[in-house]
Amino acid sequence: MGIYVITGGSSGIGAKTVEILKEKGHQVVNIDLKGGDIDANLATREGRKKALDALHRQFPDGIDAMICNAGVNNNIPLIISLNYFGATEMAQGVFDLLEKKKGSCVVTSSNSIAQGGARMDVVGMLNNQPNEERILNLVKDYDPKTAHTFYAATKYALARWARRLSAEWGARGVRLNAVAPGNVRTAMTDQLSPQQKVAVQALPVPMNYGTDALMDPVDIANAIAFLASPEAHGINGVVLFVDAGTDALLNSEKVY
Amino acid sequence: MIIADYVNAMESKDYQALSRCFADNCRLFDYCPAVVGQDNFYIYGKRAVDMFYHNKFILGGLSIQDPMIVDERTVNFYASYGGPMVHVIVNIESYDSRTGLIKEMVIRPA
Repeated sequence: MGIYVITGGSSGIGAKTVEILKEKGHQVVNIDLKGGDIDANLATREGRKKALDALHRQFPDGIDAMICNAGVNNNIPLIISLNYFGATEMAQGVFDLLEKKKGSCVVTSSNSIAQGGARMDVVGMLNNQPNEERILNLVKDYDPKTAHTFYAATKYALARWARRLSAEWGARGVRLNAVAPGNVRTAMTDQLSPQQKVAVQALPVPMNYGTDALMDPVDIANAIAFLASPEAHGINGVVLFVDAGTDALLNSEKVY
Repeated sequence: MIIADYVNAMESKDYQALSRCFADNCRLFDYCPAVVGQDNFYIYGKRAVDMFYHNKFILGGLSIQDPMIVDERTVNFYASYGGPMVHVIVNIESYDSRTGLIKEMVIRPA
């Protein structure tokens, strides 16, 4: 059985993923702000270092998978720091451990990347000049009501980051993929404002037509567990939309 | 006339009323979004019509103005796909003979 590390595994999609991986008999290490096996604030450089040091101490012989799942959808600086830097720096920080076991990495993106709402200027900064302090300084005065455009930007950049690095990582035996979930029922979506709920419902989930507008976290967790597993050995550099058909409904012409 | 129901639904952005104009296995092709640099719309099935237009009316900025019904199969209007207006012609290509609902609709630039 393998050693699977996950960030944000205390609730929502992450908690379901932890449950599924444990059911399969794996050792799972949950890194979260609180209530994890390793408590660390991944929105800060210090927190990431603390978590990475702990992983290297505990698993000097390597890990089988890193699942970068932690994320938020409000508070623009937190969105930037946690969703993007909290994922990419954690993934890169355990690359040596993944390489030892020819493991895999899965990052949690979002199907909002296909809705045209992402701030592409921010995507460009994140992917091409990823200086966290400078970007945080730039975005600190933006209207919090525009947080969703920064959320989509970090998730877009994360998916593109995974695509960009996947060839080199793959050549070294480590797979790197992204899942792009649709709207999922989580603690995050429970806190949406009425206006945000209207927007969420306007991204229909075909498999739930006429019923619940939101997906069950277990559907995303199963896809993450699969992508992280050796059974997905041939899959690398993929952004897998797990949205019950929303992207196909709205972007049927984009087959590649 | 079902074309009047269609126009009313489009004007009021009522995606559920819109989907009720269509047969279960309908096809709706809209070739106008390409005019404004978007992918054209190819929608199969009345439930997809419901969901697709739910999205486009709420988040996509889709709206119409000044509809002129020509006959029971044709209407033209100005449509905004979230930006510049496009003058479009809507044609009902076929009806379901049993229910009278729209089986095939094609929307083209005027």
